[in-house]
Amino acid sequence: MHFKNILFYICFGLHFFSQSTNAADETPSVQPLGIVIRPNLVRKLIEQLNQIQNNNQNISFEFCLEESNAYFAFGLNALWSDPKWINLSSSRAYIQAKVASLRAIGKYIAGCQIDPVTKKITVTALPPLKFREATLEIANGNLGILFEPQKMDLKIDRTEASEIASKMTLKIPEAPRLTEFFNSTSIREAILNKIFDLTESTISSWLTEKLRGLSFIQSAGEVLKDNPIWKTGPLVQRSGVTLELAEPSPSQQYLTFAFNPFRTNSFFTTSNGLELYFNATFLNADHLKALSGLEPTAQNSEAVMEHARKALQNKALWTEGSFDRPILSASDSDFSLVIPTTLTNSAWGNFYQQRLLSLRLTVDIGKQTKGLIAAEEQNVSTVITINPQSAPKMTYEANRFKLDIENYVMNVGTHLEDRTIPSTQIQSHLTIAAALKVDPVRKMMKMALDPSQFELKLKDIKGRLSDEEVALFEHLAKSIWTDFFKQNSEFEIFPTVFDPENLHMEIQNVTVSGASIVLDLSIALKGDNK
Amino acid sequence: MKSMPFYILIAIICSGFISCTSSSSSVSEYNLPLKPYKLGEYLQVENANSLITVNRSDEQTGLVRIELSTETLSVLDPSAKEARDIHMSSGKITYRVDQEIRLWNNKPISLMGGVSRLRTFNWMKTFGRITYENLKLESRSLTFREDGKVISDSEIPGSGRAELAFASHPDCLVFQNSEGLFWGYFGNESEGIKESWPIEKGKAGAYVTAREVNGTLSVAYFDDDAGILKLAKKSNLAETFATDVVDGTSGQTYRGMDIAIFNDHGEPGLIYLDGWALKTRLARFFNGKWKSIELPLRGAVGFYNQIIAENDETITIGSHNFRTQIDDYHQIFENLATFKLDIRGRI
Repeated sequence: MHFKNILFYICFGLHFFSQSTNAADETPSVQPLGIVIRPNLVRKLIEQLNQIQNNNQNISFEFCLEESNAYFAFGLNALWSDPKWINLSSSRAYIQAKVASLRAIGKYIAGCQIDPVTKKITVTALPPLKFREATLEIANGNLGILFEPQKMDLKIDRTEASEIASKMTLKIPEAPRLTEFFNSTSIREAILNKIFDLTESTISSWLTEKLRGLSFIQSAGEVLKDNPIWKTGPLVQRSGVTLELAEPSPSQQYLTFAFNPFRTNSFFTTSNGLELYFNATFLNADHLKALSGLEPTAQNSEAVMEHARKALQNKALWTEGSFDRPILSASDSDFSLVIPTTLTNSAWGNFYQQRLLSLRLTVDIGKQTKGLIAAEEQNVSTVITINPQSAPKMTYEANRFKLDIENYVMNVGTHLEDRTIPSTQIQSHLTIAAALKVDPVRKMMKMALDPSQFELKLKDIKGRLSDEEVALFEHLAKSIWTDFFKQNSEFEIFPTVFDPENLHMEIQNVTVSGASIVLDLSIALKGDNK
Repeated sequence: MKSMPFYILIAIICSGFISCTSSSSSVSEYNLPLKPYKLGEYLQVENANSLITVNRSDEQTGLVRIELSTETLSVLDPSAKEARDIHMSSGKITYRVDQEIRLWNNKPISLMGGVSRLRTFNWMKTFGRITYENLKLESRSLTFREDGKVISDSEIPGSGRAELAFASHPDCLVFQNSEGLFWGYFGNESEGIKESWPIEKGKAGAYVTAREVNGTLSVAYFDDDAGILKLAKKSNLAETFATDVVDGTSGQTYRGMDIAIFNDHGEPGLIYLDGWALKTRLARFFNGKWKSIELPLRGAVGFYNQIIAENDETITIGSHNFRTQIDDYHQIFENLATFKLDIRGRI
């Protein structure tokens, strides 16, 4: 287990978000996607740190005291206790923990320097290098970390550095005089501050790397690459009946999901945890062109994405924060996702309305009437093209989510010879029970539909069908759609962006706050994660 | 059967089992040439005794010529059982087999691949011109020699609907794009559309047939949004098209597919399919008004209508029956039908 792995645990939750763009005057609607890091995660991370000691592992680090020309490299383990999340204001939080014992075993050599640009440490002693064993111990002490999320700034509280330094002992057994030298108050404080600097910069650089500068962008093709509905058809095929995509290939190939922080009011701290809000958006080819400066239709998609990603890191493009921040309750979960229902509906509208819900249902009447009306199978079929006039909407009623597809128009026609002759139009209202879930493997927010709770109502717009015929269609449509939802019960909504990397996650609780869904998640910090 | 949408089936069955309407027009010499074969799709007229179509039966399959007087069939391209979009001009035939366009000029020649639809064909002495849609659904024009050698292949401003000669232009095209239905003419064998005029703005423009009747250009077309048949006419290049609704009521009918234009004593007359009734209809122009009737033919009839011969007394019509009602208990499917229609009186 390495230090960066620990930091991953600390920070992985932040990695949730990415960004959207506000390219030029193309202003997508504001979709505040949020993540809340709960105090419980800090407690869990401390437990994880303690497991390092229990497993006889350590965190390696090195530093160079240039004033003393001394190089040290240590492997550290420590026992921590009593982690506390202290909210200082709406923009500052303080994380406090006690060090019950800290012990580092390593080596020392005289002669080192730090590159002023790269900060890389080089041992300058002449070979053969003769390292001497060194140990560092702190009996106990309090450690606090001040976090100002608006600046993404993390600082170790130095006010107690003198007290901690007074409890620190550095030993170089082979060199008692050096031991005496390094245990002077000023050197001990210098060593401690070096360790603190190192911790801060490591966490900060890891955060930057892990959060990709708080920028994220991913194409729909990438989002949906494993979605069988996106890639193939027919969707349902059984004797004489086929449900398939109306168009042979994805039409919205440039559709892209992106998010970035709001320029202001993006980060908050409360006693419930650290809240971060991002503007999530679906970008089309025009947005991508404005953002990347490249023509998506003519350029390599990876180059377009890379240019767009870099552009998204420009804060000038970020949207000013103006959204209704949900009121959150305390939770013993590790973190929470705040998902506006407008975003899930927007995902349906962007990912699925035109592509995945424009379907064609063919009932091969020739096959079904073979031997009844005609001896041979005749080339005649009923074709129902299905084109939703509005995107499906997720709603929350009576303590459950459901997906409503209203004004869903089915054009019914007969395919005869080389043409489809339209007969009538049927309007349908389709409702199905839905739930949000996190897919840690695919790193996706998904909507899971329950085909056992599926309702369908049809209405003949043209008035050409009898009630019995409408009932017959209703039966047919319900049976086909039930098959469809059984085969395709999970739909990608948008990337979670954070990378759980083999960590098991569970949804503990789902609540609705205003226009947002709050998913409380717990995470199992087990295993050796990269 | 229990999950079958009966409304559609009823439309098909009812249109045949019961002869739906009566008509005062006199149909005679009704014949089903080569009845055992599945014939008549994409029907083309070579002359009054010879038709070109596709035979989808298991025997004598492919692109075929039908001699009406002897009721004999000769196979022109046996590998073209799936021939579609068949067009004929000056004895030459173009047709599509899957994504390939072929030219038949005494033998089948492959013209090109990667085609989704072949729209029109016109042969002009030294070269032929087709219009087509490629797999990206782009509308294009291709010119070629009689040995199939391609001269040019260029984009055109809309999807070809009908090609004909009119006024001083031997190579005119009715085409449709997002703005509407247009008429224009091509330049030489390497040129695209040189000049065009609107026929009607909007979406109407399916199943277009164009013909010069008594010096007047007549363009008949189906407005499939409204379900009505329209006819646009003009006498010279400078004139604006005058458009009439020939048959149908918007939203209440679906009349006007597979149109054939005949010379009805100097006026255009129309034979076409009623898509909901699956019946052949006749429309004629008398005293400044259009009148139409359903022809008394039993079955699901009236596809791919063509005028085989015409004079002042009768017209001979060729078409394809999806289903032919022989009697109350006997029906057959996929037949070529020919019959005469007396046009001396009024309807």
